[in-house]
Amino acid sequence: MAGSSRRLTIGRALREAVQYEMTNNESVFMMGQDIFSFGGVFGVAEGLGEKFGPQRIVDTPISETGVIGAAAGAAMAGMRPIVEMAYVDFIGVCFNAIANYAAKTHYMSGGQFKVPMVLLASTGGGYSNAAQHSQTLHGTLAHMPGMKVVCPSNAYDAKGMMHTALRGDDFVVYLANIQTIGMMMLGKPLPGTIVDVPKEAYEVPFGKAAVLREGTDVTLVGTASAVHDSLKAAEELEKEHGISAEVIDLRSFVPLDRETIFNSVQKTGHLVVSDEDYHSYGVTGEIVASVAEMDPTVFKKPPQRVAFPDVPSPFSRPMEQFCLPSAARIKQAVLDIT
Amino acid sequence: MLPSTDQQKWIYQNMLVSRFFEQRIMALYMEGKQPVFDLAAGPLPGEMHLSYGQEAAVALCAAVEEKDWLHAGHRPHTLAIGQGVDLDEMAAELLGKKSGLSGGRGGHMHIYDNRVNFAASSIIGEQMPAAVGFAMACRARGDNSIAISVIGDGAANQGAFHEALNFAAVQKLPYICVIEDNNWAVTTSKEQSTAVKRNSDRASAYGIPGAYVEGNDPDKIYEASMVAFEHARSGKGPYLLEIETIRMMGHFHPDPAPYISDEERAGWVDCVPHYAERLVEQGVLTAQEAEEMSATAEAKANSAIDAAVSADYPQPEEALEQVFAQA
Amino acid sequence: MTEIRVEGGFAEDNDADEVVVGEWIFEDGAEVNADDVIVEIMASKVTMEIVAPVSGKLKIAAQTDDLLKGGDLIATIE
Repeated sequence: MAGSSRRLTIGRALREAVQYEMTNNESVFMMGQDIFSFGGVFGVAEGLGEKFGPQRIVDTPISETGVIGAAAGAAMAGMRPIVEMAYVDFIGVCFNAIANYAAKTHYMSGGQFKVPMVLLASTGGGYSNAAQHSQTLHGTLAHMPGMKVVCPSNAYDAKGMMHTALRGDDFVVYLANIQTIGMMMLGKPLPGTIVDVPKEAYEVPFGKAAVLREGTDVTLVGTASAVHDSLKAAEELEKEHGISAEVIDLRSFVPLDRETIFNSVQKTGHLVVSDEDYHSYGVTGEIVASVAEMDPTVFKKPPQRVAFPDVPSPFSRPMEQFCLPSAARIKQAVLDIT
Repeated sequence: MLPSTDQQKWIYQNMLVSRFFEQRIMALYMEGKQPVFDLAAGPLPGEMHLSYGQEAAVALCAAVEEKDWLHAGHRPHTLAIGQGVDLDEMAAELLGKKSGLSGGRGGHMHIYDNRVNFAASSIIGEQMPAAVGFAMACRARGDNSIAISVIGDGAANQGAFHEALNFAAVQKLPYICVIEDNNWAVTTSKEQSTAVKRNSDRASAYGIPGAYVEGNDPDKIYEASMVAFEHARSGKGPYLLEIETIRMMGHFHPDPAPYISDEERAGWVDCVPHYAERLVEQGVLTAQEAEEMSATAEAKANSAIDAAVSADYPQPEEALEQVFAQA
Repeated sequence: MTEIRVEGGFAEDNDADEVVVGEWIFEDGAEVNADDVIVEIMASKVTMEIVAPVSGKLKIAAQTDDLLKGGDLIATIE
């Protein structure tokens, strides 16, 4: 039997999942800018225009409010749309359609209308794309009720979570950090993102964090690109300082697996949370608060947050690099509390 | 009325500066990005959207007065040059240097120069409502100044287009919406995305005049701009002005634009040498003068870029400054 | 045995006449099917997917990050 071991990028894994679901479920269709012949900026739709035609791979004008509103309506009427939004920053253009309409319709209708749609967007910076094209916005999206919000850090999770998203009945905001996807324009993706991916369809459930590395001295919780920074920091901490770090990939913001994180911090007594989104009023604060609410005495030392400072993303490379989470910053945060 | 010979020379000079500037930018941009393309690498990182082929638009700047405001989008270079943005500081900003217009915070897609009332930012369409706001300030000042937003044909399908024009029309604001129609929004043609043949036809939806200028022709662009700007200055309200142009270098550099047919390309005329030919033919310039203007423009562009290359980067911690005007 | 080589002619669209071998999707010695994408190669403006022309056992001839020119051997399938 051929294809025993097969490594994919996140972008390719997403494409596989989308193609499978579109093949097996006629109600699944995709909308976005430049997807029909160009395949979209992630290449998720590459080759799909040819296979499925322009009514199922729909090129849209630059009309986010119109398109996302339409996706919500199509979902309410029994279809299963995926909308690709190249950069998560663009949610600003159509925030009503996302947060007030798509996210709230199931609730406001008392469950009468489901909204089974997926909004796929890239997040993150680190390549000088400046303030309006480098944001992460995990917190902004996770904060609004009514949307499931997920973000894989590797190709195995990516494919499984996309199957889950397309088969579920809820509005899912599916994010992927731009340094992890494997887009042609950014050289190679972060190495840890390319892993073995089964050829057959499978699901990775939402609401379950993944312990990627077991440890005893400190818990490192990471999201997206910061997962890989955390893994690198953990390696260096072991080698250089004999510190044993447990690394958890959050991968699902809503629903959030508070249990797994709490259990880990209970074991290690020390927490460092890393997230490329802005520092204040976001994911890192939520994780710390969640653990504290369950039992603040598990903290042997104050929890640490490694995030993007509360500033718009600067264009100039030295300034941007200063702001981004990194293995070095995570390592230092650990050393500050151990 | 067509531009005077002095204005024609001004227009041509600025087209040249833009062209030479962008040729240096193209080369600098690709440094460090081969053989594998990586946006993050090299002295000029991030995305790059060239105005190459669209330089004729600078002719509208010949009709702009010092008190007027101009807001561009993600393809700002030619318009910035026409508006009088400091070229040295713009070059430094593109390279993320401390001496840049924004101290390196904005980069290529976010060019600002408050000394010449110029702004450019990167979310499609957001410049329209902002320019309507500029127009409100112009009205309040009572000095016959106007505000112009420049968008692409793709942006005309943004909700903000509808809202900005309607609001400006209701308020009778001195607002001009200029559309640079290069027929393409990334890889999507106007025909594929737009329900009407010409976006200038949409003006009637707002009860305002609309005009279309064919041929990527600086003289005609100037002439049409004067009509539009006069309309706004005299208190008659907004105007929708669409200019046909050609995006010769793809959406972003180095997009080879395989989605543009050979047939379409065959119809392309490069407006820069074409305008030079006309000016020499008309006797506005001798061939010698045209050469000298070329040399001057090239020297100016080189000086700006060379200075930017050797300028200093900001300190990393400076990233935390300038969020607010008052802490 | 089928040879898979870098196609020439990509240099027309690119500034460099070299390509870089990207990620291998299968391991050396793996069984592949015809039409499976086996590796990506990257040039300055394009990423090309290399597809197995036949089924069989993959023998990798160039490693990730290797620089290749037109005509160079990427892999063989037996």
